[in-house]
Amino acid sequence: MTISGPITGNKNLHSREPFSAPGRDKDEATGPVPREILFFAITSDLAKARSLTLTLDDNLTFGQFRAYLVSILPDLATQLPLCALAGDGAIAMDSDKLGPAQTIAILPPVSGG
Amino acid sequence: MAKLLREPLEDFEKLDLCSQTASLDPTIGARVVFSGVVRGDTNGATTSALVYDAYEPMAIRAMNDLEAEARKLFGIKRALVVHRLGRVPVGQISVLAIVESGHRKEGFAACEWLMNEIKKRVPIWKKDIGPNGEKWQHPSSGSLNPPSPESPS
Repeated sequence: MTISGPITGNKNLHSREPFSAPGRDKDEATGPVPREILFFAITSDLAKARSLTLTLDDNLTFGQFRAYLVSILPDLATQLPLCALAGDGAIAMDSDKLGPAQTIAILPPVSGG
Repeated sequence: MAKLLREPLEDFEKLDLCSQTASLDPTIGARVVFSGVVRGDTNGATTSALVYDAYEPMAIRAMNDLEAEARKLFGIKRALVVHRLGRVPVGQISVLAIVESGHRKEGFAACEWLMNEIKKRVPIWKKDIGPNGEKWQHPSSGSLNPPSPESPS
């Protein structure tokens, strides 16, 4: 299932106000960008979706995004700290900014083979 | 080379494998083939099938990177890794690793290394389906884990 459109980066799921990095000077903003959030394995089950679209500020860090995601999808609270995050297919540190990444993947500990 | 397939891997000779090129490279003297098979009994726990999920573009890239690393580390000629996706019943092949090398020693070593690294570094996940329900298998550690999550701001 793909959820898109009405969900934005705001604790109010029905708000269209984008989510920005706390304390950020709006004059520095390059503008919030719609991002596709991808869920896999157990996180897909918990989110009840394979993907959703969030409008997120490019100065937001992956760590802030992680905390924000739990605030809108509390069922992820236990699992998300164990997950890696990837921006456009590249593993990101929590201190990294989202920047231009159009896709953010939530990657639980792997178990292939 | 790496592939993710939803079809059974039992007919792997029909895939575009090393077999045609081996004869073209006279320095190849060994081909190690490993097939990982879905186990039906793990320490008394019954499995009827595994369901595999993957972040496909990243998984393909990670497996290709592993092949490149294996070439450098072990001096092998080439490797192919094929992983199943979707539901794989007990007894079917879930992952196939084929390594071609000059001699068997580096081939066996590279094949084992590849399998170990796949389990740690490739974004593929499996769900165990059994008589008592379904459960995603997620180890408590792995290279894809975040290094040290910072406190939320």
